Parts: sequence; structure tokens; C-alpha cells
Amino acid sequence: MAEREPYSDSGMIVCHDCDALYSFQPVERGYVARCDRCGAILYRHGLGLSTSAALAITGLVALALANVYPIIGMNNAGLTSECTLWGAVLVCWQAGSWMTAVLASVTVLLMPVLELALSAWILVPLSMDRLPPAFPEIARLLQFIRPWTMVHVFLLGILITIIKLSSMASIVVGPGLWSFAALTLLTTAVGSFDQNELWSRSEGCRQ
Amino acid sequence: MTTAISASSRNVIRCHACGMTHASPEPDETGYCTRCDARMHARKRNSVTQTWAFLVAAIILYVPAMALPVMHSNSLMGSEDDTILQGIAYFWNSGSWDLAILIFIASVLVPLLKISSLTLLNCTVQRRMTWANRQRASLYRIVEFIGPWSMLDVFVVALTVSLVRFHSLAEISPRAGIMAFGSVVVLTMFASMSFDPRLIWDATETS
Repeated sequence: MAEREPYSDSGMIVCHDCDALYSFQPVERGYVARCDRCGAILYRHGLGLSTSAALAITGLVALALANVYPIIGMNNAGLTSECTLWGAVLVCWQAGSWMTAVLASVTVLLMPVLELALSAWILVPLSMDRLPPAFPEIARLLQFIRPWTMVHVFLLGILITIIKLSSMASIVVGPGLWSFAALTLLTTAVGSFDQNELWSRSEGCRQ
Repeated sequence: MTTAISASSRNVIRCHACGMTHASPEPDETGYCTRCDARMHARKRNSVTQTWAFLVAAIILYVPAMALPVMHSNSLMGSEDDTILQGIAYFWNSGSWDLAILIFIASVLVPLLKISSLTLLNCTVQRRMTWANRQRASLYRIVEFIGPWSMLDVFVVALTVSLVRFHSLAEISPRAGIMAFGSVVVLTMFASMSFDPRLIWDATETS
């Protein structure tokens, strides 16, 4: 049986949540296109390409700072202790709670690093009208990574820990906390870049 | 009632990886995306079965997650094991009722809501029910959105353990309960990812 190849049509768009078929109509900056049938977001026109590229690089810097500097310090009767993300992961691992260590390090360290680095890998060349190397693979990988970055949840976890331990000892907030706060905003901004626009830009600069 | 056309009724497939629409004479056959070379499927394969599998595993692990202690505290006053519910009770009794409510919502309520929502969705999809389509679509989006937030308790435990480690006044270590809890969060996320919301609307199409 002869195999018929699918042919593509970029004038159409399909809702990923309910499979409804629409013709593509660009939206203005700051606007979002929603599916008429189920209300899902189809595509958006958000931050520009160069802005997102810059934010991705800034995000990497924030991530580095967030891991180098302590997040919280605790002071009780002269005894001090500080914690960084990696320190907390190691302590959990040594205490036998390996799943906690793996979950924390993957969702707050590995996935955000990958998301920001791969986003920068794609966005920086695209903003200069050049095709990034291995673009299809990296773009697909990014899609897979995105649901697993939980920096915003970690930030709330830090705040709760501060409140929880402040009755026990005096808590000092370190630069790591502010870096995590910045990281939360930056990953959210970078992650909201429209997928359709990413691909249509890449087609535009194919040699 | 909007009259949207379903893509599959017009033999159109959307590539899940890059969003490109393809017209294929055989929509149930697997073709490769012309833009990103991903293998395309009209619907997620074995969606209902896989979702059930993850849900059942999550329900089974939810029991030890709530029953087993998540933290063990060693102090001058003695040692004690704390389950998630005991931790919430401690916050409530010591006056931090806002923390108690927050942890209760994130660690007890959210996983339960996710599991019951996905069970409802998967059940109604399996029976091809055409009831409350738009509401079910919104419910799925809510489940997807709150997915990571249950990880909150895992992070709080990791941070608390790490900070109190170097104190001679008390020593806190994680216990098996937090691993079961982390598994429940991951399993419900997998369940949510294996559910195909388009099946909600397919039932209306074929009826």
C-alpha cells in the first residue's frame, strides 16, 4: 500500500484541547487568541523575541546567584546555619530521603537550567535572524521540560519555611531568596513565549 | 452553542510537538510532521487506560503519604514523628492558622481534588458522556494548572531539614511519608499529562 505523505497548511490552527479547527488570524501585541468552543488559549502575541532572549540570559544569571548565595540563615543563641538549594538536596540525600532530593534538584535546579539555557539557545540566534542549530529537537525538548519547572512553588516553600522557623530562632533572609524571586518572574516570562511564533520565525530564517 | 468543526472530522491532524496543522487522507495513520519530524497521532494513545493506571497508583500511594510520618524531630524534649496532618494540627494549635490552612490546601486538598477531578474526567470520557463539555474542559485546565503546587510540602520539608541540621538544639530528618507524598504528586502529574481532553469533545461529535 502506497504511503501518502501528510501535507501541511500553516493557514489553519487546531485547538490542542478540543481539536476545533480555525483559520489563523494574527492578534495584536498583548492579546491572546482563545478557542471559541472550549476556552483554551490558542496562541498569543506576548513579549518580543529579543526581549525574551535577554530575559532568558538574565534568568541564567539569577539561577546561578540563587544557588551560590544562601537563601535563608538561621541564628539561635550564637549558632548559625545557612541553606542553599544544593545543600538542602545533599542533606536529604544523606538522610536517606533520596526521592525528596531527586524531586527538589530536578524541578528547581535541572529543569529551570535546561529551560532557560535551551530557550536562550533558540531565542538568541532567532532574534538575529539566524537558525539555531538542532532547532526542531531543542524546541520539542523545551515543550517537554516546561511543566516540570517548579521554581514558583519553591519560592512559596521558602516563605513558609521562614514563617515556620521564625518562632524557633531569628531568621535572616539571604541574597539567594531575592535571586529566586527574580528567577520566578524570569522563567514565567520566558516560558510564555508563543510556540507558533517560534516556529514561524524559524521558517523565516531558513537558508 | 457554537458550531465548531473538529479537526479530525476533516482529516486534519495537529502536530503535538510544534503545532503545525496537516491534512492527511488517513488521519489515524501515523505520519511524520513536515516541520519538526515528530511522529503525529490524532489522539494520545491509550489515554484512558494510562490515566487510570496513574490514578490508581496515586490513590494507593496517597494512603502511606498521609499515614506515614514525613519528618522526625530529635530534640532535648524528646523525639517525635510528624505526619502531614499532625504538622497541620501543630500549626493550627500554635496560632499559625494561616499556615495550617495553606499546607492543608496544598498537601491534602489539592491532591484529592486532582485525583477526583481526573477520575471524573476519565470516567465521563470512557463512557462517552456529552454532559457539561465546556465545564469539563475548564476543570482539566484547572487540574493542569495546580499540578505543581502540591510539591510545596516536599520543598518545605527539604528546607526545614537542611536548616535545622547543624543545630545542637534539635535535629530534623525526613521520613518515608514524604517520599510517598512526592510520588503522589508526580503520579497525578503523569495522569494529567496522559489524559487527552479532546476525547471530551469527540463524544459529542460522534453522537
